[in-house]
Amino acid sequence: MESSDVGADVLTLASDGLLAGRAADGDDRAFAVLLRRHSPVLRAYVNRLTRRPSDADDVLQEVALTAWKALPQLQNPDSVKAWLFRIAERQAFAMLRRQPQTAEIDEELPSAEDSLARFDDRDQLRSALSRLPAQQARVWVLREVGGLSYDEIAETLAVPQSTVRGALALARKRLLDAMGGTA
Amino acid sequence: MTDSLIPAARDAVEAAVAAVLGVRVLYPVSVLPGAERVRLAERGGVLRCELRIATDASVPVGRVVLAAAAAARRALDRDDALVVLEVASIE
Amino acid sequence: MTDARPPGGPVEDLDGHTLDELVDYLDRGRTPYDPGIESSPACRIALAGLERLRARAADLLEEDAAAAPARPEHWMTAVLDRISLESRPGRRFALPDLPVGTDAVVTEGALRGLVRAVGDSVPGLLTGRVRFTPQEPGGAVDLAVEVSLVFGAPVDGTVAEFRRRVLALLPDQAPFPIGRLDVRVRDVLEVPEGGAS
Repeated sequence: MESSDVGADVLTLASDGLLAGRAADGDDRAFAVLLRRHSPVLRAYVNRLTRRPSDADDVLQEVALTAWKALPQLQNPDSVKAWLFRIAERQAFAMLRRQPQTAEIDEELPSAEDSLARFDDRDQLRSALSRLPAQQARVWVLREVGGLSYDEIAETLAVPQSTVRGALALARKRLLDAMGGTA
Repeated sequence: MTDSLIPAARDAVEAAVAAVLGVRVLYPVSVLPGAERVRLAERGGVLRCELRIATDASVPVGRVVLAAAAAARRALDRDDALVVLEVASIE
Repeated sequence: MTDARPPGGPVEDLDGHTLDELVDYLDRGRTPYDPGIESSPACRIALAGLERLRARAADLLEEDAAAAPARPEHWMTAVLDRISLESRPGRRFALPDLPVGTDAVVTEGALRGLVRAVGDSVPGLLTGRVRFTPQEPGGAVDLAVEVSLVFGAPVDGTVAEFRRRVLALLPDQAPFPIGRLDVRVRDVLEVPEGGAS
C-alpha cells in the first residue's frame, strides 16, 4: 500500500498544523511541503536581518535542520510559521556573530522592478530601510515585521534594552521622514 | 566465522532476506555513516546477525520476521545464528 | 553612520510629544482617546505616517519573496537527504512469542507511518499526528490520530472508514493489542476545482 502521488498533491494543501504534526512524527514529505511553503518569506526575513543575501542558503539550511530536530517538542503545531521565524532570527544572528565584519557589506537586496514603476510607499520603505544603519534596520524589522517584544529583541541581538529602544526610535524617525510622514 | 568470509556472508544474507515475501528493503543497520545493511558478529561461539528492514503491510509482520530470520540462517548456513531484526518502516 | 541626537528625545515638533509616545498610543489602538495628541496636527500627521509605515511593514516580506527570482533550492535537497537518514524511530515494541534465536522489534515510527498511509488512502482524509500511548508495560496501547477532512467529504462516514481500515490492518502489524482508537478532525481542507496542482 502506497500513499504516493495522490497523497503528495493533497499534502500541499494541508494546514501548517497538520504538516507540522506529520513532520514531528517523521514524515519528511510533509516537512518538505512546509519548507517550500515558508522558505520564500523566511529567506526575505533572513536577508533583511543579515543584509547578506549570499549567506541566506546557509542560514536556511541551519534553520531547517534545527527545525526538524526540534519539531517533536513544538507544543502548538499551528504556530509553526512563527516558530520558524524565531529559529531564523537566532540562526541569522548566530551567523553574523560568527563572521564579524568591521564594515558590513551592504549588499543590494532584491526589490521589485523599479525602472518604470510608481515610486510608491512600498519602494520608498524598501529603499529607506536599505539606507538605515544595519542595527537600526534590524531592530525595526524584528519589531515591526517579526513582532518581537523589546525583551526578545534585546536577547536576540545580545544588547541592552536601552539600545533597542534607542535604535528603534531613530529607525522610526528616519523611515517616517523618508516616507514623508512628519512634514 | 573468519573475517575474510564476512563480506561474502553479508551479501548472501542481504540477497536472501531481500527476496523474502513482505520484505521491501534492507536499511543500513544504524544511522552512522558507512553502516552496513547486515551486521555480523561472532562472540563466544554465538553468531549474531542484525538487520533493519522495511516491510509490506500486506503480510503480517510476525510472518515476515520469521521468514527473514530463517532466510538469514540458511544464507549463513548456521541454524544456531541469533537473528535480531528491527522493522523500521511498514507500508 | 551615527546620529548625534539623543534617542527617545523630541525629534520633531510634536507639540511636546515624542515619537515613542505616539507609537505606544498607536499600539494601544488610540484608546483611551488622548485629546492632547488628537488635537495636534503635527501628531495626527505623524500618527498617519506611523500607520502607513506599519501597514507597509506587514507586506514587506511577502513582497520581497514575490519579487525574488525563482532559484534552485539546493540547500533544501541537502536537508531532505540528510533527515531521511534519521527518521525518528521512537519506541521499540518487541514482538512477543518468537522462537529462541530470533529477536525482533517494530519501531513506533514504522507504526506511525503505517497509520499515516492508511489515513491518506481514505478518500477525503489526510492523516496528521499519530500518538501511541502504552497503557501498561506489555499491555494494550491506545492510539490517538489527528486528521484533516477535505471540504465536502461526509464527516462520519469518512472517519468511520478510517477507523475500519486501521482496526483491520493494525492487529497484523502492531505487536500489541490496540486499546482505544481516538480520531480527532483538526481542520478542513479546501481543494480547488480540478484538484491540487
